[in-house]
Amino acid sequence: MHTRTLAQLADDLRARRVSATELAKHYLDRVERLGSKLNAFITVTAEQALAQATVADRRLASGDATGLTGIPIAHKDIFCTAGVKTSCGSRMLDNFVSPYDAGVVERLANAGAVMLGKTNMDEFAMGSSNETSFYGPVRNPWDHALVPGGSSGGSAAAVASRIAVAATATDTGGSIRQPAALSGITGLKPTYGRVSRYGMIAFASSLDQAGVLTQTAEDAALLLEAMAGFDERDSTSLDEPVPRYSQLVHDKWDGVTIGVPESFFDGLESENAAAVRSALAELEKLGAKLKSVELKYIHLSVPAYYVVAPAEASSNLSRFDGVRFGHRAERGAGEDLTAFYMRNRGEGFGAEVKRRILTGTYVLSAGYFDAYYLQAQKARKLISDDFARAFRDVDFVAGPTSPTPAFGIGQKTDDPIAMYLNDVYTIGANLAGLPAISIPCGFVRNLPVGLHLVAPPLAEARLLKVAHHFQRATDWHARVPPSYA
Amino acid sequence: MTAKLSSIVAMVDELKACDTTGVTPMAHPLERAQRLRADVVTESDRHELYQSNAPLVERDLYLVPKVIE
Repeated sequence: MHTRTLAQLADDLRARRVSATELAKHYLDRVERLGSKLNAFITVTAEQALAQATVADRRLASGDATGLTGIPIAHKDIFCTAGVKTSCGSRMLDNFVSPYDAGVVERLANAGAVMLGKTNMDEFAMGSSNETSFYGPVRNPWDHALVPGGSSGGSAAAVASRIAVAATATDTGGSIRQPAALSGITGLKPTYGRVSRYGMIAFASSLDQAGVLTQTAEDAALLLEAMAGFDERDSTSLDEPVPRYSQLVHDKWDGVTIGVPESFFDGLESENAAAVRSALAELEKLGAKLKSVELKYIHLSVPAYYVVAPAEASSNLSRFDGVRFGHRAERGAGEDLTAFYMRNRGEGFGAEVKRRILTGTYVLSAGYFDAYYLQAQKARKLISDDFARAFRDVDFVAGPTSPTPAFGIGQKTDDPIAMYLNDVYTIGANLAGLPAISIPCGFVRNLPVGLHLVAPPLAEARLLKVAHHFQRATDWHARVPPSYA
Repeated sequence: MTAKLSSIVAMVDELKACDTTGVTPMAHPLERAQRLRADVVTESDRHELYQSNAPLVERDLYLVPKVIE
């Protein structure tokens, strides 16, 4: 059952070859047996899942089902889920039970999806390896000594090991796409504003976007169609109609031109480069034209991001003070309000979060705002213009998703910059608000690597279609880590 | 912590080398303006639900240590 894709299971459910309850039990069993070794879940919602599956079965029987009714999914623990612990991977919210559902959670629940639980993640989505979580690191199903990528490591590990059919996730600098690449699955970050951020704990408000981690582009299309759309409760939500992604993904292939910035291959290890180039050659065989493009300012992505994101985070995370909710330290004798804030936040946040709040506050401070934050926003404009210029000649911009395959747990934790450089290929799409996907395209030293494609704003349908056609001609996406087959 | 913070600042200092004369700063990635709505009350009072997560509440007020002075 668990080697079947979401699309196939939707078919099985519709044809009543399997019931939603059987499916829920099968996956909950896998989560229990296999999930703890991966540390993929923070909270498992077994009772809820079974209750949702019962309702799903009723809907399926009465013909009132959608393509997602009865499908067992997981939600990254950054999405508020009513009545269920929502920790954001942090001690700060270890005691937080959300009073409401995020827009994404609502939409998927209404579609009849069954929630298996909340997945582990880097604390407040800050990380590229899922090692900063208060709940411990997540392990890569392909090799338990390695990271699955981050910040959506739990969601990625759950899908890669097939203990969840699909999962929601978020991406601010690459947190969907990079774990997708390192875990051998498909990860899509939509256009900024395409999916509601209501109830999605904010890290960097101008960069954050909700998306999906799935086995295939076809599955991503099914999930995205249910998740996307205007939400008046999110002031940055785009009021644009949602295309029928689930149908458009199957559209006939039309000639596409794929732009390749040659600078992306500078210094890239040869096996990784070879896997990406051979994926591009495969796309050429399918009818794509490759064209060299230049993204002149792309080297500014990492510095610009590490100014903008921490700056916005320092503002967003100022709400966590232990007053109205979240971690509150044991009361010290004679303590005043300032000391109280310092202890709540000092105890509640981990080291990486503290680093980002401090650098964020610094770059926004008087005397430094122009040199850093304003300068970063100008760099952002230059990077965005680079993409816009490229898209006059090409339909997509391609490259590797990540500079290396999965690395060892603990290998890069001492050097923040080395960790930050994991996002060098993915960050540009966040700065420019563009939709982007990572799809499995090969193996390097028996570890998965991903091909990254960026598209113009609101071009998710074309992106999914190209990825789907690639997946029809190849089988990288169908490989399952041996211990989880 | 200090050494790591210094290395991060050194990395973002690379931005200074870029000539951005005449470039408009970009706040919104798709350059859209803030959507506005009519100034009417749309939320209902659910303070009991929201305060169920509060560490210390008395008469609907959140209790915190005294602000000295």
